[in-house]
Amino acid sequence: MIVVMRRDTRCNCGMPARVPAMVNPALLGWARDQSGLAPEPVAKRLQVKIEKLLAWEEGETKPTVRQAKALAKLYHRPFGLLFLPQPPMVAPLAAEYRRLPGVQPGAESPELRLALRVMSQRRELALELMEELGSTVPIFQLSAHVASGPEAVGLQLREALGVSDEEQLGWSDSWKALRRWRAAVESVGALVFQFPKVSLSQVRGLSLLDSPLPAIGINSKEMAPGARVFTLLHELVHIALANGKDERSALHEKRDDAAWAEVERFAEEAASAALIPSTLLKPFLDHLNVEPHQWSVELMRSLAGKFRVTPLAMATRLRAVGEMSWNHYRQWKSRWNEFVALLPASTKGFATPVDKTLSRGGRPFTRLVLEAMDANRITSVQACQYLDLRFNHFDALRAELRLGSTRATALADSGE
Amino acid sequence: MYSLDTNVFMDWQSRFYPLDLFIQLGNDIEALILRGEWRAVDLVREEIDAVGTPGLRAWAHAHPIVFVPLSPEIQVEAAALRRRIRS
Repeated sequence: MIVVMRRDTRCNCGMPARVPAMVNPALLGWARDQSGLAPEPVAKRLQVKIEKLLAWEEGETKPTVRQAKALAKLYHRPFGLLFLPQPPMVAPLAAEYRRLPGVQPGAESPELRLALRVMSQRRELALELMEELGSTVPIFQLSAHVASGPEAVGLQLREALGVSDEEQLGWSDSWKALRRWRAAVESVGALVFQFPKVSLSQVRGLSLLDSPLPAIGINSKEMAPGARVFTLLHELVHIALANGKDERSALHEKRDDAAWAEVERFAEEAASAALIPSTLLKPFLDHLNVEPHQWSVELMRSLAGKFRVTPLAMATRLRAVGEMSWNHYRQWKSRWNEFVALLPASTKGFATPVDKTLSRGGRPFTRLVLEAMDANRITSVQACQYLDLRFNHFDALRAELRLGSTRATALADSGE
Repeated sequence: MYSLDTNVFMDWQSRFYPLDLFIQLGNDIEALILRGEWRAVDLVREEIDAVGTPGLRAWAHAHPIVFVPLSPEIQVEAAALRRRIRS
């Protein structure tokens, strides 16, 4: 855009150090509140006193342009937003995401709020771009009920995803498995994102129960691709339950903790049934002929590797199909935890900027943004911002999308 | 005077009219810059740093005269412009 303004030949050869930013104070308070940050850490980050920050928010004084820019960056908002006449109307995040164990709606950590907001924005953007481009919005039709039982739901999901037994047993590595499962979930009308910077102790995965185009988020701090696959399927079960009206968003979900733990266990068992169907598992079990107490860590790892799942997911499955009792499962899990504790810290794989864009936004979303830019529906700057990628990487991004490369690094985004 | 946003620089140098091919266009713009008729607020340079190609980023740093501070006057004028476009 070119805007003609009055003649002014000032140059950038003496920017005053304390140019006030004519921001709307209401926006400063709103943006901080939305970020989930208390005044103390914000004031500390900006190296000002809390009273000063609060005075900006009250409109008693103005921050400098530099300080306002720092605030916008800290709140992950565009600088221009701070100049709006009034704060935008936004629905609470908890009206969108599924109930997450240990997360109180409205009291999410700043990192989790950011992850949720980015997911929500990407989803809304995808819908807008599809409309702009005249594309058909896929309808997510999978619907599940707790009453059907985890085994039936798992099989139903597996059938809908279209991953065959032969294909699964033929994958040469777990990254390929993750990429294929992800594409399968995307093909049934859900978006799949990966989010960084949220500790695994908070959440491993989450989902936005919106329709159309529900979205799944996987925590990319999870290093094992098999664990990401399990999270992906676990979240898919939650979305299917929500589609079947058996689950509601965190804001509206009213079950007590014990009842909710049952839903979580259901999702775990259904996910493992989808990943490890009993018909596919049985020949392996017959061949191994292992007594319930004989499952060693090594044996479990070996069997899990055939299915490209984690040993823990395999143990969960063996318990569900009755190959292990709860007691044997707990004993095995205790040995597994000891084994994991002795493992050296995993080294983070190298992820290029293109790898990060693809792993975080997913291929369907990335394609949409590129297509919209090529059709001049969005600008190149917007495309860069939506993909979080510099323009000079766009050629490599297009090449990667064309090639459909399955390089391991394409997903090795450690979230940093 | 032209007041430009980041897209103008991106479309000019990175997308449609690369400097090494569209030499006369580059010369014309250099002339506009010298006459003080080609300016952007310094936020644009920061945005170019964030999303631009290496060539554009280098060009922006080699042309500091293009980028003016976001003074209160410019902020007020931009807000008025925004209101006028919205209404």
